[in-house]
Amino acid sequence: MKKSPQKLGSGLGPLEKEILELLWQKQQAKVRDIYDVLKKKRKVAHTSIAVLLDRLHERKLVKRSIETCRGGYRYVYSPASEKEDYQKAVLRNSVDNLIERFGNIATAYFDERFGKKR
Amino acid sequence: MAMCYECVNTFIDKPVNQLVVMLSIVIALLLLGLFLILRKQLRNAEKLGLLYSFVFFMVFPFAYYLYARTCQKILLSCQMAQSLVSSGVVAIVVTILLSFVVVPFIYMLSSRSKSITQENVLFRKMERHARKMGIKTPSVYLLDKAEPYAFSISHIHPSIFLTMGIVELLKPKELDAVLLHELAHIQQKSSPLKFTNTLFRLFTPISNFNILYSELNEEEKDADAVAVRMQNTERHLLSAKQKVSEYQKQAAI
Repeated sequence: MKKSPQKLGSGLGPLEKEILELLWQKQQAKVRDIYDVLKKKRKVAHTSIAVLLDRLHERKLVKRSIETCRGGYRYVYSPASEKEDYQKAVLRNSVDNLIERFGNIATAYFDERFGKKR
Repeated sequence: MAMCYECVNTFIDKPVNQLVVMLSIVIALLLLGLFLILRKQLRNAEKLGLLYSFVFFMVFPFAYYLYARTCQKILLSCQMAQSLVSSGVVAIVVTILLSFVVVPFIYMLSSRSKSITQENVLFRKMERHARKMGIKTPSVYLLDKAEPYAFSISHIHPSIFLTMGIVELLKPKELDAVLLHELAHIQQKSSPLKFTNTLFRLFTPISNFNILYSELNEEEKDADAVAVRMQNTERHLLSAKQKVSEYQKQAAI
């Protein structure tokens, strides 16, 4: 059974989104792997990547396992859900939030915009 | 309130009670004085013995008052207070003893900790360092946490705990420096002192005088000095501390 991502992707910073994108591409990666890719595009510290991956893990957007390696141990991170599922969850939450905030106005708008043709 | 006041007066009126209370306080202050004067020459176990004895003699007059026969005879409410306080004191003592013994095992048996076996390179490093320092190799546990830190427990079952965070973050020689620092704590048998400091901060105003602060600071400096001496450089230890500090700053943002 596929796990759906917990609270949203809304609230992710640009670097967190980049990290998630990379994980979707690679399917699994260590902190070092992600750091090596991102440092070519922008100025970023290894510790920043480690901190952000931990935060993504706390938000259940990524999973991690411990792997034995030459120097001892390393975390291996992987996405907690497929990209499409994540995007659907973000969308669902955004729409739910709008409806919660604007109530009937929001539902009327959605009816008007996406209503079935009679 | 008036009845308790009478109870106290009746207690103090008796010369025997006065003598017991004053003697207890004098002994407590003597012990504290001995600790403050001799602290540099004493070993950790001796310092702890003096401190716990000081606490005992400071608390003794109150316990003696509550159990005094005069109070029991005069007032039922004092008897009730005695039961409450005696059960409270027993609960505190049992909690302290249990936490001293049980907390290390809680860490070890936690589902987020993993014992590092002898085949692992980390354990073999630890073994080499322990042999050089002339101490028995402690157990090593890996905690499944990204935050980088390490600590050791030197009593009951000497062990070192490393988080995944610190193992990932540091280079081999930096991690060696951390291992040497923690091994030094085990050699010094530091954890009863740290545990006592935590207790004092929780239960007594002694912490206001930072009575164990300089001891703990000295322990940390001594442990650092061991790591620097064994590696013949402070570079790796400083680098390790800087990386951990950098992580903490990033995590706080």
